[in-house]
Amino acid sequence: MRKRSSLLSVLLLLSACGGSSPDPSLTGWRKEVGQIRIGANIGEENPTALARMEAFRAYIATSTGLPVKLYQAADYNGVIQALASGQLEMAAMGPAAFANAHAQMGDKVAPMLATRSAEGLSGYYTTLTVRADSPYRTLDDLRGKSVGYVDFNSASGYVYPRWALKKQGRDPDRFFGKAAITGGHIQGVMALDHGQFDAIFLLANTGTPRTGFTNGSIYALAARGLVKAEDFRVIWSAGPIANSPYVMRTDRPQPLKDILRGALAAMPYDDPAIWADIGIGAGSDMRPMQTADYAEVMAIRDAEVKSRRAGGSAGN
Amino acid sequence: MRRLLPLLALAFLPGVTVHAQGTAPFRVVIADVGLNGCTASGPAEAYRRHLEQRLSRPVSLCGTADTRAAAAELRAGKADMAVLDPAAFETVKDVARAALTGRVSAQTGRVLSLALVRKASGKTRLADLTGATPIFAGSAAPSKDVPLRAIGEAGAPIASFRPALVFEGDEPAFAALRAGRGDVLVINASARARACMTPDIKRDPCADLTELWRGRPRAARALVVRNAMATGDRHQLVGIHIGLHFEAPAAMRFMAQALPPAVALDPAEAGALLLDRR
Repeated sequence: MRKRSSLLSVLLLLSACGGSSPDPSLTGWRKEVGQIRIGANIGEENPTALARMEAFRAYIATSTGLPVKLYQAADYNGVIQALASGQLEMAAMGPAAFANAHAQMGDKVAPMLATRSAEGLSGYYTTLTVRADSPYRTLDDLRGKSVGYVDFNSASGYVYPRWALKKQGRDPDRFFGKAAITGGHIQGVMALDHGQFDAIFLLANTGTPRTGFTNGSIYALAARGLVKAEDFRVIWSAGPIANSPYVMRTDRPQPLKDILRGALAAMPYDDPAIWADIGIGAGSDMRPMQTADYAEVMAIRDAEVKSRRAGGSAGN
Repeated sequence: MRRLLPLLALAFLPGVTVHAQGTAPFRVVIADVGLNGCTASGPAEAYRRHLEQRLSRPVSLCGTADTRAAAAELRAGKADMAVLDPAAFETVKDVARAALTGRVSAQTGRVLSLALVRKASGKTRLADLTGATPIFAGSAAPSKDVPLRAIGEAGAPIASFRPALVFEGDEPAFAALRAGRGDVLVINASARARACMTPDIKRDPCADLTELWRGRPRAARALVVRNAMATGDRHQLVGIHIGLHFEAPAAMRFMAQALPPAVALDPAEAGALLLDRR
C-alpha cells in the first residue's frame, strides 16, 4: 500500500471530478473498475492544451459513465511504473516508453490507438537540431561535438536516433565527443538555446524530411514565446517512428477497453473542438494499433538496453 | 433435460442463437449481403459471434429486402443497428445517426477536406467556383480525389473546372494559389494545418486566404444506430468495429460486403450519409 501511494504521488493530478469514494450506483464492470485513471507524459510543452484537458476528461467520463482522473507524469518512467503497478487504466506515451512498458508488463499492456494524418500516415521523426547561428550544416560537422538526448525512454530523443546512426555506420558513443541526458524535450531545447550542447535530438512531426516540419518540440516552445523557431536548424532526421500510442492495461474489462478505444477514435468525428483542444491537428484521426506495430522500436530498445548493460553508455 | 435437448442442439447449429431469457438481443439488420432471414453462416456468422462475444449479450443478425426496409426496422425500434445508404437514411435521419463507415484503403478514409481561395478573389461560396482552375497539394487520393469529390458533393461546380495544377507538397500548392496560378486550393485539413500552423500564435499565416467550405465526402453506406442509443454504447460499437480487420478478419470480410469496398472501418460523424451543402 505504501508503494502504491508513493507511485501515484509522482504523478500530478491534472483533472478530476467527483469524490474519491466509490459510486454505489455503479453496477457490473463499472462497479468493478470504479474509476478511470489516465496518465500522460506528453504535452509538457503545451500548458494551454493541458488546461483544456478538462473537456477531454469530461468527454471520456460521459462515454464510460465513470469518474475520470488525468495524471501528468514528471518523467517517462512515472507513467510506466504507475501503469505496471495497476494504478492507471490507460496512458498516452511515446513508442519507446511503450516498448519499456511492454518489456516490464508483457501482454498486460497493449497499444490501442495512435494518431493518423489525412494522408494515412501514423509516424513522426527524430531530428538532430542545432542553433541556426552555429557553423554546423551536416551530421559530419558534429563529429566530436556535444549532443543532448531527451530521456532513455524517448523514441525520438534517444532510442531511434541512436539506432538510425548505427545503421548509417556511425556509432553515436564514438561519433560524438560528449553526450548527456537532458531529461525532457523542453530541457533539451533550452539547453541548446543556452549553448550547453552543440546539438540535441528532438521530436518533429506534421511534415516529412522532404516537406519540412511544422510541429514538434521547438514549435511548441516557440508558440509559448520561449524560443524562436528560426533560431534553430534541423541538419539530420530519421523516421518515421510509429506514432505515440494510447495504451491500456489488458486486464481491464473488455467493455471498458472497447468503449475507450471507440470514444477516442470517434472524437475527431464527434467533437472536433476537443480534438483540437488536446493539440491534435485537424484532418487527422486515430488508427487502431497492435503491439506488432511497435515491433521495430521494441527491438531497437532491446538492443540498446543490451548494449548499455554491456558497457556502452549515453553519458560518455 | 429431454426438453432442453432440442434447445442445446439448436445452439450448436451455425447462425442460430438461443437467447437467455430476459437478455434482450442486440439486433442488426443488413440488406444485400445474402442473409437468409436471421440465419447467418460463414463470415456473417463470424461477425455475429464476434459481436456477441464482445457485447456479452445475444446478437441477432437479420437480412432485409432492401436498405429502406432496414431503415424501417430501425425506426420501429425493431433493430438497434442497420447498414443504410443515403436514400434509406433520409427516412430515419430524425431518429438515427451514422456511427461507422468503411475505409477504402489504409491510406484513404473520408478525409476532412476544404476549399481555399485568395481573400482578394472575392469568392465566398463554392458556387462561385465556376470555371475555376483547381490546385492540389498531392496526387494521391487523400490529397486530390477525395477532397475534390467532397467539394463536388457540397455544390462546387467541379464539372466546369479547368485542368488542375497538381503539386507534390503543401508549400508549392499554397504558393501557386497566392501567385494566382489557380483559383482554388482543394486540400485535406492535415495539409492546411501543416501550411497554416505557426509558432507565433498571434500571427495567422493564412489570413490572406478564405476557407469556402470544410467537410467530409458523403459516405456511400454506413452502420447507423438510433439517436437514443447511449453515447458509451455507440462508442463501444465503434471500439469493436475499428479493430475488426486484425482482431476478427472473417468478421471483417462480412463487413467488407456490407460496406464495400472497406478494408477496415472508421468512426463516422452523425450526418455522414447526408450531403453537406452550405
